[in-house]
Amino acid sequence: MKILIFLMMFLAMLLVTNGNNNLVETTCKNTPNYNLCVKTLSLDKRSETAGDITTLALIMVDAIKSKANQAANTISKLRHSNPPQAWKDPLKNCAFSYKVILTASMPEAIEALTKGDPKFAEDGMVGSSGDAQECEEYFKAITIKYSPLSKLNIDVHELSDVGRAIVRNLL
Amino acid sequence: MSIPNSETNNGVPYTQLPESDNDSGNTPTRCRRPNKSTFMILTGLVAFLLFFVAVKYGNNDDSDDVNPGPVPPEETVCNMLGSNLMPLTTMRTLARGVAEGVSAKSRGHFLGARPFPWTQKMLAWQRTSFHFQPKKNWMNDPNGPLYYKGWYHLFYQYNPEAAVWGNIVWGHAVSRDLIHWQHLPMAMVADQWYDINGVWTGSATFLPNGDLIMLYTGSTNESVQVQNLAYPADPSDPLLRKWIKYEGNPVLIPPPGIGLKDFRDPTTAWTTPEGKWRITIGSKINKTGISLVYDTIDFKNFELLKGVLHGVPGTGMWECVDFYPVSKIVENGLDTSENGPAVKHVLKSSLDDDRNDYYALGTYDVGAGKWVPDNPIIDVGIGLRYDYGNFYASKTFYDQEKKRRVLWAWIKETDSEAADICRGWASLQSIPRTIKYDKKTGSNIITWPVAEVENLRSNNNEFNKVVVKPGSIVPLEVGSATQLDIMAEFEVDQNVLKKVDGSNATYDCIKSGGSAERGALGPFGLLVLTDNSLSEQTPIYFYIAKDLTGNFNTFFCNDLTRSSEATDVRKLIYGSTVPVLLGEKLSLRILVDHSIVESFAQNGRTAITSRVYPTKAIYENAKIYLFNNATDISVTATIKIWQMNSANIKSN
Repeated sequence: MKILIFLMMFLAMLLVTNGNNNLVETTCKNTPNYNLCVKTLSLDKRSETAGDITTLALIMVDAIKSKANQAANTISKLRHSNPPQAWKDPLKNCAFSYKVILTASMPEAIEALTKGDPKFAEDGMVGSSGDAQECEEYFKAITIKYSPLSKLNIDVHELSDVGRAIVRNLL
Repeated sequence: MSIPNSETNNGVPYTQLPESDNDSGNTPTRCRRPNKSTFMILTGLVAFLLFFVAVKYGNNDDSDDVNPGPVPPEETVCNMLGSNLMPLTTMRTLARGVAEGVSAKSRGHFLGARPFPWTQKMLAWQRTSFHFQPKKNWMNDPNGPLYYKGWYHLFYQYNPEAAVWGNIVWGHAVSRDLIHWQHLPMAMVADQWYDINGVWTGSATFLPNGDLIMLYTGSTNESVQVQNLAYPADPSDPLLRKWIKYEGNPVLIPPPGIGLKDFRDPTTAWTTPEGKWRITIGSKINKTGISLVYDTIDFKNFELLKGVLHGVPGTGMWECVDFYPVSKIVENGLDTSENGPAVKHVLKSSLDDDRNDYYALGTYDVGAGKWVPDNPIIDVGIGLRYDYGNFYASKTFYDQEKKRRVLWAWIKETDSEAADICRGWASLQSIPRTIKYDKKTGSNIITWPVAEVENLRSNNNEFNKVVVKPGSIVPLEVGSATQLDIMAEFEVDQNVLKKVDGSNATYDCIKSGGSAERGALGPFGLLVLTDNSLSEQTPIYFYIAKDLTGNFNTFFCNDLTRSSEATDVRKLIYGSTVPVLLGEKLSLRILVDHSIVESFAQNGRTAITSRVYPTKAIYENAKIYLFNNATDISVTATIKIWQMNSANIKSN
């Protein structure tokens, strides 16, 4: 009898886990980067119990914020550590780009997601995607092949594109 | 709901950067600990300032609206601003107005291009002169438009804190003529549990005794969408400055089976034969957009009707539903409650999915509370649009003074939000338009700028029978071309029309090569906001397609692909077909007002509104041209162009 109960509990757990993995999987299948989507969502415990896509979108917002904060910190450190002359303008512009992401685009996305007008969250995602890309372009525009921020710029850009695709499910 | 929303409810809506990043050497305040005497001096200073402010502004409720805030220095390049000049809460950048997952990716096409260096002079030019806009910050949907005791009222979704969406309250303005506006203090703010997360869109209804009520959507403390009732505090005040929210709010909560966040934007009410009031509210079930119907006697207690007014699979959330009668016979507009055999009913929905306003003509079954489209092929959301450009969340009202139905709509920005923030404002309202049933075609409505806008006309320039040969451009000398009302007629050579071979090629403005793609019978039209070198141009044009059986199909398009040299604005091609009946000349009307261009073909059968952000074709360098890029046909154009005076919107 005990074994049966354990078995049933095990099955139930399996079903529950499967159910949530299904939400993550089906949601991620409709994004431009399935692997990044699943990886990012799985790293956050909320995805294990999330019953709705809004939560998944909010996880993505947090992931973008985390990377954007890293970028902002890196930019700040570089600017205060006597960077090469050619980096100075791009760094200043990138500081602006990431300030925009962190102080406007992501807060707007959160407000739109939590208050239930998700089209403005899509705007926020499009904004952060474009801003991260723009930071990368500031370096490229002055023929600097190597950007000290490439990795983070690409991360924020790609996470935002995934986030945007997730948000579109909510419209 | 279990969604963590501390970031939006704690009074600090925007997160701060991890560390200060200023070049100006401002020391972060946390590094210093003020001693007691500084504290006292500061306290005194603050008290004095408060006193000063109280004396100066004590009689004015409208503190939010008066000061446009610090203006960045002339010739500042916005993208180079760094972090010092703008308050943090108003900063962001993006290219918006996303349609079907393609648009804003346009930024991706410019990899390697330097983001455009906007100057303050360019941005200042973008502010309009006769369109409605708040003095600063963000606006979206028009709300509760109405006419009351000699005044037109416009309420609107407004963010008093930034030039981006958020913190939504009701802005308010009044006008005698729908054109010259006066800003008033905010009509309703988010101050109750049932609208603390936003005073969202609503509509006005007049009761038979002349009383006025407003139904609007509130986003509650738990972000549930509910409907609330409000009414004027002082009905004898023609300016309707103070509003009272009913103490029993909310009057409607999402019914079973409807998402808590899929229940918004109540319509104006109309009457039923049983003497009840009826409203409809947009929603969705899965991906089917629907319109719920409620009956009420007192606007406090509502009864949900079985079924829906209408629904269309695949159209997603229906926002800002509008429902009203149009006459098949008379020219007048109709009160929302009118019905009868000479009446058709328009159902309009704003689709969250692609942010366009779709409508269809149909028949309203008052007994069942249902509406059926005349032609299911062009049902709501899959057929006709009020406007094939940038035009969303529109709302009509019946103007009982002039016996007409008037349409308002939110015209969003299509540049980057960084630029909006540098400018300090975002979004416009369209010029209000009258709406009529098109008796000639019987298959569409007509939208046309209200007659009052013509009072702004001055300095008429006429160009009679100008022949424009295939592949040519003709300048039209009118001086500065940033505030214009243009009426143009085009005659095409009937013999050539007959002679030209038909083609099985299909044409589509949006998928075409725009004004540069030459066909036998088009494109031809006007270039507005165009500089001398033609490096920036905004073509508005007709394209006639002849098929193999000899039938003609006329298209009306607006090509923005070369409208600006800036890389961070959306540059799409807009357009659709326009019905042209036998014997009709091709006609178009264009209102140019700085960064907005509203175009109408065949007296308003098809309309296209666009936002344009030129960098060279501004101020005295904005010109206008006739063009004909057809390969086979000459056109003869007769054009009237008026300079338009400014409407000088006033603050209260």
